[in-house]
Amino acid sequence: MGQKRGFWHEFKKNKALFLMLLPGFIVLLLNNYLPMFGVIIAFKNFKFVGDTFIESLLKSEWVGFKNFKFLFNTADAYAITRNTLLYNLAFIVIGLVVAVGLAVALSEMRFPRLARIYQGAMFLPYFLSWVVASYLVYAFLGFDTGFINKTILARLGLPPVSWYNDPRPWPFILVFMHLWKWAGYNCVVYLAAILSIDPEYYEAAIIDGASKWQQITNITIPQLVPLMTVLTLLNIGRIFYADFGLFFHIPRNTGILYPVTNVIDTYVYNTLLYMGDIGMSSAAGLYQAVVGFTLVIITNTVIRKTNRDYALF
Amino acid sequence: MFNQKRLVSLAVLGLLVFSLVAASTVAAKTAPYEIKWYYPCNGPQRDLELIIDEANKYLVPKINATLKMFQMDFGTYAQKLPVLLASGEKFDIFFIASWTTPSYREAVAKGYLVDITTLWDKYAPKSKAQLPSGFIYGTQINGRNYAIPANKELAHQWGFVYRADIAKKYGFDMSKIKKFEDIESMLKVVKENAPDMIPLQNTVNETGYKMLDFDRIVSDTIPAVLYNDSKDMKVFNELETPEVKQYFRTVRKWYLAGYIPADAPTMTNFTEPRRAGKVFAYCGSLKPYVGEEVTASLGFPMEAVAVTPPVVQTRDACGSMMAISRTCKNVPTALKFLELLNTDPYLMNLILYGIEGKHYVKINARQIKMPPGVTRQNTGYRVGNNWVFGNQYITYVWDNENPNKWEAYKNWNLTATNAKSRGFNFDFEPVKNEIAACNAVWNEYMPGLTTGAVDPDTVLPQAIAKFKAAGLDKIIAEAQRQLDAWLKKTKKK
Repeated sequence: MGQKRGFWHEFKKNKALFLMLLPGFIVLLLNNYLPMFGVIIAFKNFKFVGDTFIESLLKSEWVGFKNFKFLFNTADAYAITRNTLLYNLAFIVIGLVVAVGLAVALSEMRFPRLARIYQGAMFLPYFLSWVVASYLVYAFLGFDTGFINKTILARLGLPPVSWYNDPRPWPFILVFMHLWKWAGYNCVVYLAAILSIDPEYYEAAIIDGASKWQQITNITIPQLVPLMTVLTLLNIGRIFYADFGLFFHIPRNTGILYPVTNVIDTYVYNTLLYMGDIGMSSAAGLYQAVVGFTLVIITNTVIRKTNRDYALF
Repeated sequence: MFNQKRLVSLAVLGLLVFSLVAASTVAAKTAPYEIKWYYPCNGPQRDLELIIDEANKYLVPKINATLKMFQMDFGTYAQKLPVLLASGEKFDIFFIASWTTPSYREAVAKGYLVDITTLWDKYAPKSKAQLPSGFIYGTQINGRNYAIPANKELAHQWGFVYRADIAKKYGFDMSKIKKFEDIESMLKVVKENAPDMIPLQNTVNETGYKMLDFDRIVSDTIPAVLYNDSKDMKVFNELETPEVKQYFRTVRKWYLAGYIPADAPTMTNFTEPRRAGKVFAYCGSLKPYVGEEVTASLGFPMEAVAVTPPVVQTRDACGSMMAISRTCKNVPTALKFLELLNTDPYLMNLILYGIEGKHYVKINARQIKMPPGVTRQNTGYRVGNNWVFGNQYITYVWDNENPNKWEAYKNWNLTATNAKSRGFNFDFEPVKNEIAACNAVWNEYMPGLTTGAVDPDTVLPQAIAKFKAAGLDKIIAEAQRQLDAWLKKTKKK
């Protein structure tokens, strides 16, 4: 990687470039780093004792790690951590397979116009909010008026199912809904990457007599690996953040379903909305951020050890 | 020439500066203070600006203040209030109660409210004098007042509200109902004869569970309670009592029989089916003439039958209050406004019913009706919920309400008994973590159990075990400790 030189040397050499960096750097500092001072809320018993928020923050009593206790102290601590991790793992793995699969399939389609229609149709759910989606799901799963109970099960002569009272099908429903929303979006990203693969590879492969399947496994997929790694790495960084809208709105925040739908974010919302305790909410957020950050560092280190070029940093 | 021009422009500039300074000093002396007021009601009203203009004409000469009202429906208010308070937004007066988010107790503990104990006497003495003493000490926290309670009915009572026409059609004798289980035979008849109807709308948060009427000294979502007439003042876990088990079994039976809607644990929009006339009975909070009130709002003949006796608990006095935000820049003016609101029938009725002749016309000194051509649907101002605003006894009633309503309220208050713990306020702080955890358990299990959607024989033991794991015993012990200390202190007095 060339010889190492000091930062100062770099700076002198590229003054103009560094100057151009400055505005962005200042925005980053003001927007992303200055508010980090606020993490001290997580260690305080926040009360309004001063006139302004900042003053109250500084004057509030320090309580150490007491605010974090509720996350680990509860009977649900294990369940919510397990749900958050397993759902996100499932989303990452299944999401990756489906998105890459769809992208490869679309890129191989004979009629580009038809491919574009499919692509658009799959992309559409990405623009719908979970609130809207929750009503769509309710239209299917509602007890009295839902499409599945009223049309499908009734035609088949089966008794109606009280979907929102039975936790068993929900892991599948949630994974399906996640795919429904994100597969199209991720597919477009991979499709763009596939289209940027140099066509010469394929021409050479065709001359060598490679079949379509061989082209896919030997050219397309290997070419996509760097992108897959980066996107997966980014997702792993967010493995402790559950998609709040998905887990809150789609099951309609139903208590009976909590064993399979409660994730860290919804748990924090449901418990602390009622308590209104800023310190405890911040503690939960900080905990998620720290674990997410650690996981990214670990994964990145592992990747860097195996293949330096695929690492994020 | 050049100099002249400069001179003129200088003079003009000087004049301009002078007039600006003059204007601002004059303005500073007399500018009325703008009171920002948030409260929940039927939602934002179309003619709000007209009412504000009228109110300002009245308020500026009296207390040199203008009004800015933020109206929203109860759902929006529940979402907006925590954000308003936590963000430090500048506003003056807002509605708070024992049941809002955050609750009155919580908001005081967080320092959101101005302590008005001494200021109340100074700036709003009449509004204090008109309140029964129960409201004044009932809303105190550690002996301090943080909000002005609405003068209204004080007790609470639970019972069934039902369609009188349906009861008559099938010849039900509703007066026979003395306890929750007694309505079963009627539900059966309704289910068999009117399959389209919901016999008992026992939906989440509006269930007959409330008819057990425990004294919830800790919180609405924590099963650490007292009996209202407790002899030994022992705090206990209600889920382990036989009456709770029996209630769960009863609703389970009714749920399976189809008396309770299948989506009861997730159903939150309960007014819609009532308005559509699809509900035979529901569990509700009662007060004098509640039947007439519900009849007026639903458009079906409704009556009520009581199951529990009227009782006053600590939380009842805190059922509806106006508090002053810590961000208020002019507390005396805000208090003077609340004084007027609670004592001046003109102002109260203006904010409640709008402008006379446009939004209502008087029938007699007490009753009003809609002006010709104005209906409930097309009126520009109908906030409803007059118990939110303050002193109910100075407000008009609609033509279909009983003109003696307010006297009946006063008498009803007198018949109510006090819960033994009345006046005790639990301090969350020592068991904050356990409360958060138990609250989560409550949200997980109680909607299913109280509506009958799950089998209590398997789920109730799970719920009890989970509450224990979440630290319920610690909460009960802490509540007992605080209660004992309170009993000792109040007996000494």
